[in-house]
Amino acid sequence: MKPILDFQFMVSIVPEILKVVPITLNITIVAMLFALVIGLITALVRIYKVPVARQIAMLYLSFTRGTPLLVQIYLSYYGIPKLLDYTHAYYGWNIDVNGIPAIVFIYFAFSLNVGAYLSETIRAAIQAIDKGQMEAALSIGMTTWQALRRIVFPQALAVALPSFGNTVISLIKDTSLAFMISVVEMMGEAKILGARGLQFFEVYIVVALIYWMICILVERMIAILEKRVKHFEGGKI
Amino acid sequence: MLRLQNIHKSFHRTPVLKGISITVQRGEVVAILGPSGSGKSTLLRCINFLERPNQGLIQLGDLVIDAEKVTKDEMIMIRRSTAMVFQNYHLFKNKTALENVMEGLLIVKKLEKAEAYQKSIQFLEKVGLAGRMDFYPSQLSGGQQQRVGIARALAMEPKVILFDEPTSALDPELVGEVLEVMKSLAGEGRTMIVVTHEMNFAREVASHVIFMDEGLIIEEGTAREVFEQTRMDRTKRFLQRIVK
Repeated sequence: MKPILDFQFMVSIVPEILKVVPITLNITIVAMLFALVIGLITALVRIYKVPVARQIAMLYLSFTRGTPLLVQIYLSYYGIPKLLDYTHAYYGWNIDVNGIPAIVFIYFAFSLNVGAYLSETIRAAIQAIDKGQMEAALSIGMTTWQALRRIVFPQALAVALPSFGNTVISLIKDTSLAFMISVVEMMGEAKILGARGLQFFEVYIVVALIYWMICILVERMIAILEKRVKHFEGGKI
Repeated sequence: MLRLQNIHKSFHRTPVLKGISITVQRGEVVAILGPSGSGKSTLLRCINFLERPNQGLIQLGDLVIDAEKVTKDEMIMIRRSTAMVFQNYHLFKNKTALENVMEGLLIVKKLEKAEAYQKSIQFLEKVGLAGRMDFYPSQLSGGQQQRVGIARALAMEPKVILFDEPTSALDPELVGEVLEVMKSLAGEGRTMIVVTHEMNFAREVASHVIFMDEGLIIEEGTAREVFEQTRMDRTKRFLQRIVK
């Protein structure tokens, strides 16, 4: 009888999957950075009730949270080239839409998706900071932006960091959807390897373990970061 | 030097200030007394536009602001010539005592780091807290936090310092250290407006006492006039309840 798992095969594919880990991390980092900017802007627009921009932000948040990420990826993949083709024809530009690498559409879809979730986290974190902090900053003559940047944001970051951590962990796992538009990240590589000898179970076990390891490492890093960011809360003396 | 003229302020159509006019001379210490809800804190907060008056004129030095047409720049200008000490201190929680004092010098006054550092230490020494300069607010007692708050205000070299019930949130045994600092400032001839429930402080230190109720000034004068030759019944009742 054949053993339930082909361990030799499993060990042999580890390096091949590790080879594409940078792509998974690349999507995670790029999406997270853009998402932070999008989340911060939409959060501020909502907190300060900026007319028009606020309505647009609400629509974006509602749509993004109300549709599956996979659908958003497809919309980005099929929609953006169409839109570009159309505008090119309209303005008479000539850019090769087919030359855009698929990962760009992944960046786009993931940034907007994660941005919507971060928006809520950031808004709650900023509103959790005592209004007196802003007032004290204004009272010595700082501008609202200076007060936000120097006083409110650093404190809000300490509040939001655990949530940010959860978002990063989710994002890492969600990048497994990128293969749906043929970006070969960990999951994509696994499917290719699995198809080679029809050993899907082994491949997915290996991939699961690697995702798990990455998430544990990231959790550790966030815990360290949290300590640093919260240094000012200090102990009573 | 500071003149408020006919200040009106409502919150959701509820009038809180119903036409307040005050003149404060350079070097004066003005104490504003009154029951809670009388509008005294709101009045103080209208001076630096933490609340925006619905109507009225605010004049500080050469700066004259019509509250109805105030611009962002005007608000910043008046905030840069005033400073406020808050009831709950409101020290910047993410900054040490030293950084709290330095912040305005660096960001608002744009001083060089070394100069801001030197100045900040001087002001912390003035309130007796140079030894605690590297402590975060969470590591300081209420009285110490409030003294840092005063140092932060002083560092801005304001024309007038606004005190919003600076001792109300403090444990009784910590009130003294803050009042001591305030007395010494008054002694230096600084212009101060103090909303307070500390009658002894008002009596001993204030050169001018204002009694407010229901959004209006009921009575004002020197401490002696208001406390010992009280004219209005409303003031008498208030003082009887507070001063034993």
